[in-house]
Amino acid sequence: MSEVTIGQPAAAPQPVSPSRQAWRMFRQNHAAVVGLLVLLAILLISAIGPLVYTVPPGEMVWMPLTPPGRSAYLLGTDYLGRDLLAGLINGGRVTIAIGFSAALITLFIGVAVGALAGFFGGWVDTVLMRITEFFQVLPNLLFAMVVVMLFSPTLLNISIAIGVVSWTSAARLTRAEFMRLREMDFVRAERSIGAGNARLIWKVILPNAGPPLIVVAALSTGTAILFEAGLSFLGLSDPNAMSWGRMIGDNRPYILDSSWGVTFPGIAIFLTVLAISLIGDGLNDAFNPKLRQR
Amino acid sequence: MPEPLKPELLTSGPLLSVRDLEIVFRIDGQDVPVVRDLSFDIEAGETLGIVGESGCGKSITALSLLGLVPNPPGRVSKGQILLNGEDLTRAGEARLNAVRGNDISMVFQEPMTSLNPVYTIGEQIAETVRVHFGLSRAAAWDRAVEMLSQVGIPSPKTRAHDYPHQLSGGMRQRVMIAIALVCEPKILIADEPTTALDVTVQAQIFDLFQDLQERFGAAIILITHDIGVVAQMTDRVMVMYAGRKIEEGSVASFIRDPRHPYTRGLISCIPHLSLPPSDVPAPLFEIPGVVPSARELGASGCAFAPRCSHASGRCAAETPTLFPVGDGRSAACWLEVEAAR
Repeated sequence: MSEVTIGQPAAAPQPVSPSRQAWRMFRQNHAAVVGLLVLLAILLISAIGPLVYTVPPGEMVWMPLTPPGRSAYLLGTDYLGRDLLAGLINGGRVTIAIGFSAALITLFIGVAVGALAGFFGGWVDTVLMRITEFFQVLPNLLFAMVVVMLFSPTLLNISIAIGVVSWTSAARLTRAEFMRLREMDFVRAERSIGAGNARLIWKVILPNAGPPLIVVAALSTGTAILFEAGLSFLGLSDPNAMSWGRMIGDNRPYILDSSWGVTFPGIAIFLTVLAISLIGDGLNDAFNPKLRQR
Repeated sequence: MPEPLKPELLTSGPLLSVRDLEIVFRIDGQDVPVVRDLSFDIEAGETLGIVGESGCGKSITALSLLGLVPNPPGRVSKGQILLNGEDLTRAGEARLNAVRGNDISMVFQEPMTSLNPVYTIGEQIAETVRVHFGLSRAAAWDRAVEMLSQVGIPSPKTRAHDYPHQLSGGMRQRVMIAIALVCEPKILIADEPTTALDVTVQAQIFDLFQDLQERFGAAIILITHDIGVVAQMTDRVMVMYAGRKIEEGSVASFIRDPRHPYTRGLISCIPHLSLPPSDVPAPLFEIPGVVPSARELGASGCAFAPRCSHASGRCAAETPTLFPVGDGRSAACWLEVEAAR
């Protein structure tokens, strides 16, 4: 048989990788692009803001409860005379760090549990799913509060507490994807050329389950930020680190005298979570094969 | 021809020898045999055809050679599968993974869905060599491109960067064959490799199989229900019915002089292209009835008897064993036993 049986088309279409295809779809969702720009701006401000705006966030710098625009401190001060703008700029770091690390922990536990349950099925599935259900029926906020109170409220412990209470939906989703994918022909084909279980789980099936997991990762980052705010509001925040949730919690008793003390951090949280949700929505579109064009 | 990846094996005797294989599926707490008393050999470089209707145990036999019988509910309950004298039914999972793809590989029926959609075809071929031979990334990639050109994919260097969805069915099956052959296995199992492809592509794929067999010297086990393909491709044919081998022989004798009534029926079922003199198409022949499910089979008696026009009382009572019918052929039918008397 000759080496070449089919003539080379004049202009062979360039191979398009799945990630490039996804980016094309993502760009078409304008709200998601706006969300991405907002999030990038927030990340940028959090990253370099404290270097540019050097007012210390934890120190009394002016008269307490100064409204915005009445002093050199643009957004005014809180009940201890601390600069709100400095708080926002510095608090963003903590809030976002907790959001991402909690989402990472959520995904790590959820994917591991879901992958093993979905891939092996049988008694492994039964045991892991009963554990998942146990965590599902625990009241999230209460359980997270107990974890944070038992172990001191450091940033790491707060992230772990949030991750531990919110991994169940990621686990269920991963399990469903694995149960669908493990029966696919290409998994059988990979088995037939000598792929072991570990390879099948991590290198064959998991990348195929990627798109829905990326969407879940984005959304659980938003949820984790809200969760952190909730915990801080109840006073369970790291006393050494300024965060948006803690600012709201601290200023809550003075809400009638100085509404700005809770409004600005509230807007910051709202914008960040909204941006992340829009991005999640865009990712959902980007990875939805029904909306995808060749 | 690329450089050989592994030394030649010097052993006497058949390359693969299956002895008294029995595969059972556990259904409602009972072990139901789906393959029984199956024995066959395959020599290096030969092509064995396994034919039979759907549900007669061809595919599960093929999977058992790779230790891939879905468990649960299935398992190999009896017999041996000897690869160069090593019993694969006793091998552990790690050993089987070393055998799969390296000594024995398989091409499946569905090229459209048998490739992983998230990796390029080059990566998938290269990964196989890396797993079995531990080649460097670059060397494995070169080998993948080389293999793509061997299976007749035009401009393999660019095509290696393609994702499966960018290829046609025939091209994907070529890629599957490239993956199966990249480690130069001694045995290639092809389970209805062209059923999902159209006729012209089918011919190309079979040309490719024959061409590659000459170059790589692999034995091929070809599973099909297309008698035309068997006649064109194979040296020896094994007919299976309801989990048993009922006839075996050279392909010429199988076509010219089928002995078992079931084999005769299979061959009569091939539609003829030529128009009869009357210009009225000849009626299509069919074997009445369907393959009985494994659960319906009794412990004794010929499984084909209910569909056989020659069946007698003995057929329903006793299971016929394989009976030699000259020049290396055998058939499991009481008619042959009686004719020989």
